[in-house]
Parts: sequence; C-alpha cells; structure tokens
Amino acid sequence: MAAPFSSDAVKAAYLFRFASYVEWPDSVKVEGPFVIGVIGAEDVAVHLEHLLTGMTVQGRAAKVRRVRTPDDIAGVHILYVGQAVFRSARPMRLRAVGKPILLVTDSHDGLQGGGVINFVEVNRNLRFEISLAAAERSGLKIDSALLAVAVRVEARRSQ
Amino acid sequence: MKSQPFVPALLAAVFAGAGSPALAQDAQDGRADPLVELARMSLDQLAHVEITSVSKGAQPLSTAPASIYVITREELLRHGITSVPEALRLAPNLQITQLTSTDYSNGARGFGGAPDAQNFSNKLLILIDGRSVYSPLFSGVTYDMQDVLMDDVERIEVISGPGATLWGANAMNGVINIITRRPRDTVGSLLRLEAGAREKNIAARHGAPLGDGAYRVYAKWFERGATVLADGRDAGDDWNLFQAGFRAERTRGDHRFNLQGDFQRATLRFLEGDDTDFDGANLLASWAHAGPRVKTRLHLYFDRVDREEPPSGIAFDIDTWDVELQQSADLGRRHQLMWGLGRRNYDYRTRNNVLAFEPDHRDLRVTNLFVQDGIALTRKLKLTAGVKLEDNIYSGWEVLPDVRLSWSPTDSTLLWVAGSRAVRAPTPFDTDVQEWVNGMLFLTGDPDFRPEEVMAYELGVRGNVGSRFSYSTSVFYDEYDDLRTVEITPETLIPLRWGNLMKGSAYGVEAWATWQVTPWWRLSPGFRSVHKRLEFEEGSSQLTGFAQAGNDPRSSWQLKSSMDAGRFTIDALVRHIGELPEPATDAYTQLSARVAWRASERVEIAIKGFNLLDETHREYAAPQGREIRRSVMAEVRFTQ
Repeated sequence: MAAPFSSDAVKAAYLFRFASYVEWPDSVKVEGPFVIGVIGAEDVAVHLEHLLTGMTVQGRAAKVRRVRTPDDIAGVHILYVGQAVFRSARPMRLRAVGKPILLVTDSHDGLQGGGVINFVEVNRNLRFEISLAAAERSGLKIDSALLAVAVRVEARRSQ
Repeated sequence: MKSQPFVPALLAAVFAGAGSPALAQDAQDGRADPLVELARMSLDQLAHVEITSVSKGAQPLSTAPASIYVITREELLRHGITSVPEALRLAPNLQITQLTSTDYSNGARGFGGAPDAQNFSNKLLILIDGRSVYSPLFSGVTYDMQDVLMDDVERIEVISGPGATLWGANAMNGVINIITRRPRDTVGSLLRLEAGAREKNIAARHGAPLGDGAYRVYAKWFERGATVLADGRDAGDDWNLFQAGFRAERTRGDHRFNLQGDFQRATLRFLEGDDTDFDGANLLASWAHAGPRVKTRLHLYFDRVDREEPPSGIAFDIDTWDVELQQSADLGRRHQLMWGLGRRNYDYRTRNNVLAFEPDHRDLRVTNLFVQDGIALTRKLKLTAGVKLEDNIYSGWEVLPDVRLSWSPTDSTLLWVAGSRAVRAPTPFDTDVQEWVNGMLFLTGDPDFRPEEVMAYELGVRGNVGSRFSYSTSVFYDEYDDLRTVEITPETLIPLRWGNLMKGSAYGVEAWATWQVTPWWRLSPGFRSVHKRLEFEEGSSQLTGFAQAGNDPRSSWQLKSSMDAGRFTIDALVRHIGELPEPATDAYTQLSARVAWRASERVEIAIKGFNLLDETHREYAAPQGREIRRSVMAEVRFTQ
C-alpha cells in the first residue's frame, strides 16, 4: 500500500509484528499474557490496544500496558519508548537494559540509549535499525528475516 | 488500563490455528480496518508504507474524496524549503508565480490573478493551524506575511477544488492547510543556519516535556536579496523578517488543551523609496475532546496585523477575533455526522492616500454554521453531503453545498465524483476602495458588488499499483458567474468601477504519481492543465480583457526526484510552466536541488540551490514581474 497511514498506526503494527521475529530466552515464563509496554505514546498505545483485541502473540493473549514508573516494567516483553519521552524515560530504559525485554526506541540516538530496535523515518517510510549487541545483552535472538528488512544492523561487539 | 476480557482471548485461540497471528476483523461489518490491514502486511510491505502523522483513526488519505496533495515535512526538509510560497511549489496542483522578492501569486485550476489588473489571487484560502491568513481587506493572501519554521511543520494539505462546506467562503478554487507538529513531536533543540549570496536564514527551536504535555519555543530571522528590473537595474527589494513563537499542549485523559502564538516584524525595501514595514501577532487557544463516539473541538484566536506600504500608499491594521466549535459523531454504523458553527470579527482601520477606503474603517462580521453527513451506503460506496451557511455584511447569507460520492472497488483504488458551490465573498477592496490618480478619482468600488461564484464538478481516481506506484488524477468542469470586471462611468469614462460582468467555464485535469523506482530512489511526476472559456455580459466595458480573471498558463508539469545514498540524500525538483497569455510571459523551466550529508546523528550539512538553470529568469511580465536571481546556499542543521 502506498497510501499514507498515520505513523502511530504503522508503529503499532510493527510492535505487534516484531514479536513473531524475536525469540525470548526460556527463562521468561510462558504463562500469562504477552505484554507490550508503552511509555509516553498514547496514540500508539490506543492503536495497539485496538489491534491486540482478540489476537494472540506467540500463542498467548496479548495486552498493552502504559508504563509510567520503572516498577511497571516487570513482566513486559516488548517495551516501546515514545519519541517525546526518550530522554525523560531514561530511568525506565536503564531498568529494561540487560533484561529479556525487547526495548524499542524512537529517537536519533535510540540504539546508543539501550534500544534493541530503533524506528527511523526514511523517505516517508517508517523503517528501523537493530543493535545485535543490545539483543545479545538481553538474551534475545532475532530472526534473520527481521535483520534483512532493517535499514541498519549494528553488529555485536568484537570479542 | 483496560483489562483483557476473557472472550476475545478465547476467540484468539480459535483464530490462532494458522500459525501466524490471527487478526481481528471489524466485528460490525466484517470489513478489515486500516490497522488490521497494516498488521497483515509483510515486513517488507510495512517498510514501504507511506506514512503521515494524521493522528488517531489510522485513516489512509486514499479515502478522502477530493483532489488532495499532501506536502510532508520530510519533503519540505529534503528540498531545503525556506518559505511558504516556495513550499507550495512542491504541490503539483498549485500554480505559484514569483513576482518580486516578496510578492507571489498562487492559483489552483487557473484564476491565479492578474497583478496588472489589480486582481490578486483571491480564490484560495490558506489556514495555519486553523487560523485563516486570507486578507479580509483586499481578498487573497499576502505571502510575505506568512512564515513558519519548516522543521516544525507536520504537513501541508493542498486541496484543489472547492472546500467551502468545511472551510467557508474564499475556499473557492482550493484550500491550503498548514499544520504544525504537536509539541510532543518537537522535543529537543534545533539550530538551523543557511547562508548564500541571496539569502541568509537563522532559526532556533527548543522543545521539552511539560507536565502532562510538552511545549516548544522558536525564533527565526532571514534576509532575502533583491530581484532585477527589466532595464537591468537592481530593484533594491531586499527584505528581512524576524519571527518568534511558541506552542504548548497538555493532555488530561481524553482532553487536549493547546495554546500557541507567533510574533513577526519585517522591513521590505524598494529602490530608493521609503521602506515597507509590517508586524503581526497571533494567539490561538484550543480544546479538543475525543470521546468514544463524539469528538469535539473548540478554538479561539486573536490575530493582529499592521502594515505600512509607502510605495503603493497602503497602510492598514486589522484585528481578528475568531471562535469556532466543531463536533463529529458516529451515529449507528452508517453515519458519521459533523457539524459546527463559528463567528469571526475583523476590525480594520486604513490610513491611505493613493489607495483610499471609504469608510476608512469597518467592523466586518462573518457568521457560519455547517452540517455534513458521511453515509456508508455499502461497504464500498460512501456518500458525503453537507452545506455551510455563511453570512457576511455585504452579500448576506451564502449557501455553500457539497456532495461527494466515493467508491472503492478494490482496497487499492478509489473513484470519486463531486459537485459543489463556492464563492469569493466581497471585501472592502471590492466595495469601498477609491483610487486617486493626480487628484482625480480613477477607480471606485461598487457598494453592490456581488460574490464571485463557482459551481464545480469533479471526477477523480486514486490508488496504487503494487507497493511501489501510487497515483492520483482528477478532471474538473467549473462554471463561474459574477466574476469581477472593470467598468466605466458613461460619458466621463472615469472613475472606473468594479463590476460583476464576466462569466464562463473552465475545465482541466490534474495528475500526479509517485514511483519508488528502487528502495533508494523515488520519482514523482505531476501535471496540470486548465482551459478557460469566459465571456463578458452585456453592458460590460470589456476593459483589460479576459486575462484580468487570471493570467494563467494552459499547462505545467513538474518532476521530483528523491535519492538516498548512505549518509547522503539528493533531491531535485524540475518545473516547467507554460506561457502566460496577457501580458504575454514566456514559458520557463527551472530546477532546484539539494545534496545533504548526515555528518553525525546530530549534524546535517547540505548545499542547495533554487532557480539553478539561469542567472536570472522571469515568471511574470514586467513591470509586475521582476527578474528572479539564482540562489545557492549552504545549510547546517544541528539537533540535540
């Protein structure tokens, strides 16, 4: 489709699709719902809520959680940090780093700020870049199909 | 947060059979909504979806049954645009003509005006964040007084064809909505420096979160160089403008509060004469509430402009107050009802000598109410019908109806047909003006001046072929009546006076497309053409001919190219404007281009040029049009 969609809707669609291309470590418990946390992006959260109604992610019911404090992060599988709050959400980003959480950022320096995946706008398309170093730190395995679509893949740190 | 009910989870388990995520269908009518459509796409398709930031609803623009082109922020920045009229050149459905260093004319579907007949481009309405910048005194838009920081623009919607039912009188041949970004999208600091022999710009913006929302403040200053007169002399019409402003927004649950304002001051020169000075200020407050079924928006603004133009003997100040309420509601499954009402007061004073107004001040009141219903006749067929009633002090209540039918036979195609009536309302320049030449009254307004009127019929199709090619094309047939003419006083000839003794029709086509040739190269061609058949009514002096209704080219085309090469972006726009009939002006082709290098995450460096093909070129015959010089600039943009 080349017809323009709102970028918030496209972000919601991506967040939903990412789950299919990421493998969480076995230590993450398999009971309970699949939780996508959203910080400071109400429209993305609303779209996601609409999208996830009646849908499963990795065979589980999925839900959206508005994350407001670092303590809200417990049990989150994907954490999206909205563009506007990237800086102010630093405490929550730090809490997520190194945990089995797919941290998705939306900022020029998202990958430097701990993001595993970072949204970038390229030529009126919404694309993303991936940090393999951050993925490894979080114990997440990223499918090569996702890497292939990324505009940029930041390699693992050399051993 | 909303707890996840048990039943959907169960449904989910049923749908999950295929192995891929099961997708919800719209429970009401089984139609997939745009979000679900997005979620169904392959990653590669998703990566090539064209995005805008139209908030909520995820409504693809392809459902709007009108000839609409959206200039995105990305496009503005990549083409290195520094002014509003230059930005509008990116829209293939507009006809922008640069006359002098400060002055532009603009038309859609012809009727761009004829400066030599004192006929401004007065049939297009421009709004900046819902604030009308159409002059209530002269009709038309004074382009040198409109400025925004391009980095903070979300998008510019350019609709050709009437938009009167929603936007009111003067949205006759088109309406342009300049929409700035919400403060939460402009958090961070920005410094922009641009410098070349013809133009220097400096701009800074700072944005930050604030409580439940965010704010930004900005300031900018520019200096633009002079054009050249027909005899080769420098016109001396260089000018400078300072502008500063802010926007703050706060969200509380479903409520959104917004406050924004701008201030500007400018000095324009011309040869050795006295400088023209103007300043302006505005303040706009709005409240929006998004309920589950009803959305409400209320805005209130104040706008003040003050302009002193010694070369043409024009001086005025205008205070504008505007209040507007709009509501939209989903009624049942088929109806989307919208209604609204508004009131605008223009309080102006003129201080003139050559061009006088009698009376020299007035309080103009414009009241409007409108209602529109969008009806889903079937899943693929939608009817939108609405009417606006608008009252002005000269011609009273105007009825501005609009009916549109749209049909989407497939998800990637939209066909639409529309019929509407719109007017250009009388202004003091039509009714009260008195132009004195050598102590004699040369031209006078007509107190009984009637609105200029159009009945427009449009047919369009838009869609995409695969994920790499999208297109939009429309044809129109417009019937005009009561167009402004210059009439004579019997026997004495002067004073001349305005009349409404021209009518006729215009038809034409507008078409554009975007072709993603490769993942890193995009081409966007555009074409427009208009043919006018006008006639004078009996008793007209026929002075100044048909061209006074608009000295428009029969056809024009443009081609935009956009390339990504690693850290480099390369963009170019070629435009070709056909010849103008009267006064005759040669056809011309011009090129603008920009090459940018993203030096780091925070710094972008670019070199750009406008009107590159010639040392100077002319877009309109002398003396109204002057020779426009080539302009090359270096640009540095820091973001933090």
